Amino acid sequence: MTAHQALRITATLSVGIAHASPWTVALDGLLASEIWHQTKRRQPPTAPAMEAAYPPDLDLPLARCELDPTWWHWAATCGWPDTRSDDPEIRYWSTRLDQRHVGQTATRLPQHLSDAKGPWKAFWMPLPVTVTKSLVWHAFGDPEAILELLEPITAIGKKRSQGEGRVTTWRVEPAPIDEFTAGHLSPAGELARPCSPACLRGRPDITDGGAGYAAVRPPHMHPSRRTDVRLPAPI
Amino acid sequence: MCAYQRRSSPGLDPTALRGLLRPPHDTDHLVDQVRAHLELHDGYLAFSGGKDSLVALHLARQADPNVPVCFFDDGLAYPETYTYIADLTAAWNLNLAAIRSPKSTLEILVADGSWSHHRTVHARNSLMSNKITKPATIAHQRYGPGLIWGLRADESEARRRMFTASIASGTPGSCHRTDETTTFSPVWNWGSDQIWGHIARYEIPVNPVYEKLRRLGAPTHAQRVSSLLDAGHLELGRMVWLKRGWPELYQVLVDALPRAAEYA
Repeated sequence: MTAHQALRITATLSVGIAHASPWTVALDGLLASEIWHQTKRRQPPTAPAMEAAYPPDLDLPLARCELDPTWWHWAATCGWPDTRSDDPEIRYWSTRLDQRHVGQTATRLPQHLSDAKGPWKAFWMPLPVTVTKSLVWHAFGDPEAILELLEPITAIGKKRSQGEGRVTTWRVEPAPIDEFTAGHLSPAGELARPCSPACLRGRPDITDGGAGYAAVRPPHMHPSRRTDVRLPAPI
Repeated sequence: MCAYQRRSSPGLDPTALRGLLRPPHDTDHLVDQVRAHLELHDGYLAFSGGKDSLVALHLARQADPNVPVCFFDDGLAYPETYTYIADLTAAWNLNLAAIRSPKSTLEILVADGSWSHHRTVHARNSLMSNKITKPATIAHQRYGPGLIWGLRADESEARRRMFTASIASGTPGSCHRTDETTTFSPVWNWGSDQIWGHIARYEIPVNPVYEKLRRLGAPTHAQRVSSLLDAGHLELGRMVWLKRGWPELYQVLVDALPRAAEYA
């Protein structure tokens, strides 16, 4: 097993990152996603992880924080921007049924295709964006294995195919911080990942986002990973 | 409880400036109309915690300081709304009655089945009936058939038609309904700017959800304080603002209604 160490991981971004939560992408989620992606390329198709009752935990190159043995998490944070702004940047995306295209491609059409309701409803959706030149994660893990997994990732966050969250470079370097900080806190010293309340026991000075209900480890969208947590401080 | 909050930034605040303008409506006349409506029909004021019913409440209290105020609780209001209404009740000494819906809105949405890919869609229960009609029936029986509310014509085409019909019948802002109730909205022909101007002018305490949504970057049309979730405005990003501002509530709702995540 490779020796783990405290790390600072930096993604240089071209414009920023789009995300709906009040915090950005979790490093353990990025690594798990890349491992899953590589596994799918190597192996025949398997059932989606989201359809399993309890998807297995992938072997990430990170240490585990087991201050709460039941709801343990990987020792890595969510991304932290280099600047914080009080003025939110909101972009919009929209969809609307192309009636002419439908007319050309379908042999039979209903009398009326409504874009006000039903499956062809038009969307006009907000997309909150954090405008920043870089995101910083803390982690306690294997730097070479982490960099190897991150380098193929060229975009992070929402709406990647529309150009949001473009990553120009990844940098993984040792950080002079203790293991707890590497697994929980942002460069500003605030809680930077959802974690069990047990992680913060005896540490009342750490700013967080309050009590909440969220996933503690990947796959973050799976209900089996969600529990009562302390939420990250909003960026 | 926060009073109407002026922006802390040094730029011009148009809403605060609107409060300094002469009111476009004769407020005393509106108060007289509310008083006459209550004397003729008896009844109550329906208060949602939103800005429009807040202005209607402010006017109605001038007509009758002890007017019954009903809050229809479907169990899915923002947590800030419950605190706000409790604080306003104490500050204004309101004669408030919270009337719960027969079922919570969340119960109805879960039972419906269409919010999960793995459920069969069952016969639909009417959210409108559960959330408005049935609690309103209780309120009518308790306080009488005259309802004061804060509906405005420019909120939707259906409301514009309803109030246009009230002009034709010679009672602008007042409508007689099939359940034998008679409604009156003193703000039926106000615009949103006039509502905010009135709130600024009288420094009326406003629901903090508005300020939170504004700080999150929600546009004016998305600054609504009604239920956390129903079928309306999903295509305009309602779940995005919920996820951004109330991530813990968002996650609880998504656990119960998995397809709600598709709208965030």
